[in-house]
Amino acid sequence: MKIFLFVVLGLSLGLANAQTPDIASVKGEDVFAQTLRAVELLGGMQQFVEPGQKVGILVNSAFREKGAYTDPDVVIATIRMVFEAGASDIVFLQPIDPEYWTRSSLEPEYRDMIARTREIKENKFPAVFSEEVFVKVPSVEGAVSVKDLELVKELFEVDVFINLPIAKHHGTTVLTNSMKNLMGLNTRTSNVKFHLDGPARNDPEFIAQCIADLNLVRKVDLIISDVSHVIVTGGPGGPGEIVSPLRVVAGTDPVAIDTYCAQQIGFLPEDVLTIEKGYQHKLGEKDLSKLIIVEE
Amino acid sequence: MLKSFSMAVAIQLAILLFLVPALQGQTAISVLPGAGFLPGWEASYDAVAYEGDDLFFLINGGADLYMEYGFADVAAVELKHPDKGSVYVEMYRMDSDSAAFGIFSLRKGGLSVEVNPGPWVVYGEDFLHLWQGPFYMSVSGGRLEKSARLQVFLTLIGHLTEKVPAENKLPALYEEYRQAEANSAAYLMGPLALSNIYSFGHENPFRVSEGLVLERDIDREIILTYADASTASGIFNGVLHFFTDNARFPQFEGSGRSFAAVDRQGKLIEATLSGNKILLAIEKQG
Repeated sequence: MKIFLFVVLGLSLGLANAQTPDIASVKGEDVFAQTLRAVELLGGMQQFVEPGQKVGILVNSAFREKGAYTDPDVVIATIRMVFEAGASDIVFLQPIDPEYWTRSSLEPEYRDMIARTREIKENKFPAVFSEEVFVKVPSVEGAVSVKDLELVKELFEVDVFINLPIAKHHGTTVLTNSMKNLMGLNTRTSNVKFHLDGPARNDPEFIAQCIADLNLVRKVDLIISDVSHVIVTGGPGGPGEIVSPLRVVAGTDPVAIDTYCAQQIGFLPEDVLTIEKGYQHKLGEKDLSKLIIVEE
Repeated sequence: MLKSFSMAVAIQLAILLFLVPALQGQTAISVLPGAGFLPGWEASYDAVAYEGDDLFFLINGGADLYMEYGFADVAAVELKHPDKGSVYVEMYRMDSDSAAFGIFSLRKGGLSVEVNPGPWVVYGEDFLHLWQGPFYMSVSGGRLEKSARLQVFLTLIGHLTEKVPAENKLPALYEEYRQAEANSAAYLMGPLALSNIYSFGHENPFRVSEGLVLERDIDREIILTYADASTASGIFNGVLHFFTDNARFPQFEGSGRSFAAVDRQGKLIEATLSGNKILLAIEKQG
């Protein structure tokens, strides 16, 4: 009997592990609840954050047009889960304008919780290098094009790095989502090099390569992408045509996340050069048939 | 008679000679409204100015689009009043009237245009877009007291009129369709501008250099022009190749001088070669 129970328990655990998805995609009209559910499907925030840890979060919050910024409900849900997992410190690696939070009806309820977070104020566009806040990274192992990066120093000091992009159109790269969102960690000088240092100004291949190279610097521990209402033209700032897949998508594989989200908003992943460059860097998997994707 | 005629011409020439240098000497910073544009208003900080590639230090994403149209320089400032709030102004000088008009027409989205002898204006509750000569002016008034907005907006419109007394030169392509389409047209000068309307991926199958987008109820008509019919024909053949067996367009039918395709969102796309133009119609809802 005991042996039987051990076998059953062992099988259950094995099945549970086997079912942990690579991508959790939750559809609905309540982005806050969808964010909680998406992370729950990945095993809960405790899979990513341990008590006492310091968590860095990067949010695409700088734009004002609807469909061009990460829904603040995604962010509020995330920081709630991170605090509940016992994090000692949450730092936004790019500052968030106080007005951003007011776009959420949840702001009054979570105002005190938001006030417990801090941010890297100096990393506000157009961020300028200072030794207090940024660090120079002359080269990145495995990088093809990028060099002399100027990155937010705390990226290397946090225990956990969570990326909260929005999957939307970008005039130069077609899609901006998980991988491209990391440009928010650079000074403006570094980002401008992505545009100007290639064989031609705004060379799409060069920019895509730089973005993929940038993703080699530090692996993102968790990605939660807003795919609820997003612009598919006029990006990155909008205004543009908005599509509404009504999804929040979570995972740890930036290539897979970008591939999946591109499809959700009607883009061809093959058109997104960043995906291929990221795949070549072994940052993740672009063949979604090889992954476990749970959709609700 | 001859004497009068000569005087009239002389006056016109004098005006022209006066105006042209005046316009040529104008930069974005010289046209930008400043402190005192209305009593009680001050600049929050010294105006910033950028030219050339330095535009990337002003615009967070999307500088490429201005470069594509032809960007000369920009100046920006926030103006504030102790009781009325603040307004943020960006003044772009493009390298032609057409370029400034193009940016203006794209940035306005689907909003109606106030067509004036002076600046063309698009306004909303808390913003303005203006076009005058080679200048495009963007005004963000989200932090203005509502009671102050009308006065501030009207003053800024008057400011641009006074500073840039140019006669707006519309692109010839736009003039062709103007009568029917004044409020709904967007003028394109490259593939990035087209991607604001419809994205064909990172390629540039239509080799866009000039085009016009006309908004209709159920679709958008896009007129792309080329140097001559031979050029247009060569590009159209390339477009046929692009659409054939392209996973983005699961349905495709056509050859020669026209085709129809349906994209993954279910939108119908039709194209026709017509002289030196390629005419596109893209359904709005799939």
